[in-house]
Amino acid sequence: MKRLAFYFDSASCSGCKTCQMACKDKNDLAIGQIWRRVYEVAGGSWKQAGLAWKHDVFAYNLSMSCNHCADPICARNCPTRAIWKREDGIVQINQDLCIGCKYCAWVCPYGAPQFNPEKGVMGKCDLCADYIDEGKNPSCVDACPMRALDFGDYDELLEKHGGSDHIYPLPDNSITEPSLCIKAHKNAGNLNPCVVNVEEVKRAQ
Amino acid sequence: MRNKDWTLVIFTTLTQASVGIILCLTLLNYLGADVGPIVQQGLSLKNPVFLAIAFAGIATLISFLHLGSPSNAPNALNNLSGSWISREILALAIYSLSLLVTMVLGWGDWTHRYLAHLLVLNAISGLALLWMMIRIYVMPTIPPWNSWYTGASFVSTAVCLGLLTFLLLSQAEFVGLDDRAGGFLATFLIAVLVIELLAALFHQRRLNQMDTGFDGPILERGIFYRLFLLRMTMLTVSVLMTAFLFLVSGSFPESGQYLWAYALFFLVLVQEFVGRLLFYSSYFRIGV
Repeated sequence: MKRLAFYFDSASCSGCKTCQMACKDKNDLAIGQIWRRVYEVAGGSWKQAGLAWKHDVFAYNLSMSCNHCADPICARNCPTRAIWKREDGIVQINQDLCIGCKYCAWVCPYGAPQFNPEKGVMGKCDLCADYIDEGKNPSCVDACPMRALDFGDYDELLEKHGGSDHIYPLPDNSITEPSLCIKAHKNAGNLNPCVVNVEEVKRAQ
Repeated sequence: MRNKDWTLVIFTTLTQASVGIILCLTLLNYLGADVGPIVQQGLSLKNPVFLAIAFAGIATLISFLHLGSPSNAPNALNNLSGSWISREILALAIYSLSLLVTMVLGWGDWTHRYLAHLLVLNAISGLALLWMMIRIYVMPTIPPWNSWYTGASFVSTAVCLGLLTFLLLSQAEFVGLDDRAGGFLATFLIAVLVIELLAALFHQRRLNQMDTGFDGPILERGIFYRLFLLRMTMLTVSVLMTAFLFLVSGSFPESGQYLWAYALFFLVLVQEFVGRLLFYSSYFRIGV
């Protein structure tokens, strides 16, 4: 069975958020709805070394949407079966079935499902399934000026990019087995990382 | 607390109060109290079975306000094999139906013969409903809810409100309790309130030590912590009031102490709502 996935190169991402805007534009999302979010991570500090001051300050970005998990906790717990998985691994929401109980948003560790107050149902990234069916790329992938985003079969992406890293602030992969291949920024393993645009990314949930 | 969570506060508290009433009724029957005439009062607030149905009915109606698309509500039963919400809704329907059967049969003369069996059926379906409700919240991705405290708080809410409803009905002389049964209920209530107090303290300690991710600490300061202190105060006063009423009268509740009894009921009810509010407010999940 095919397992479509995103690839994200944290080392190349400049944090311009064009992917975020392309997603909003393609899906006609209202204010407050951001299906793809860019997390700005920073950390480090200044340290005195003799008479000099040195720093280990670092920053990197993480562009994140639904990861179309192999074991989607949202679909497992959806009371209406509105969340379902296509043959190619894309996790979709059938809004005609959704009751808008928001339980999927509670449990998803990636904050992917978001409530649409106008429609009264949940919505999330569907990997631009309609574009994929037409043989095109997802809008975020094509919009990225740094070519930091890619998509394809999970195993092929792993092979192409030499495996996948796990970076802050992502949760343990074993919970939902996300279909996400990441190339880590060189400083992603540094101590004391924190998300610096909390207000921006949290408001979307 | 997120928008519309107040509907869940009311839904869970009222449903658990309903289950608690039935559990107490079954317990009283088991203890030998003559509960037959009580359940034969039909559509009356003196009838604990009717009260339990009313609580469950109001809770169900309020739960619709939580939904973004209430018109799609029948779809909520689509995933019985995987979703605890689907199972909870089915359990609520079975529980309500079993209460209706008990109440309808109570109008006739059949209840006396089958009352013990009917009450056991009601209690089992109520416990099943309580179990489903607990399982909805015990999720590995939500650390503050993924603990023994969720189950303990839901069960203690049911037992506390069930016991107090009976003490209140007894105070109003709608239900006749002898000294032994009244004393048992009061002692049981004190024990549950003390357990609830200790459980809340342990849980708060656990919350304080949790890594809340990039949200930063939210559970040990501000309005959340002030509400927690308010709840602890109310719980302590509730324990002291119950003990005082019981010790003073010897067999709680004594007639003439109804004002104290109503005050106690109100205090515990508010305390349970505040506790549930804190429960939902403590939500955060792992990840981004």
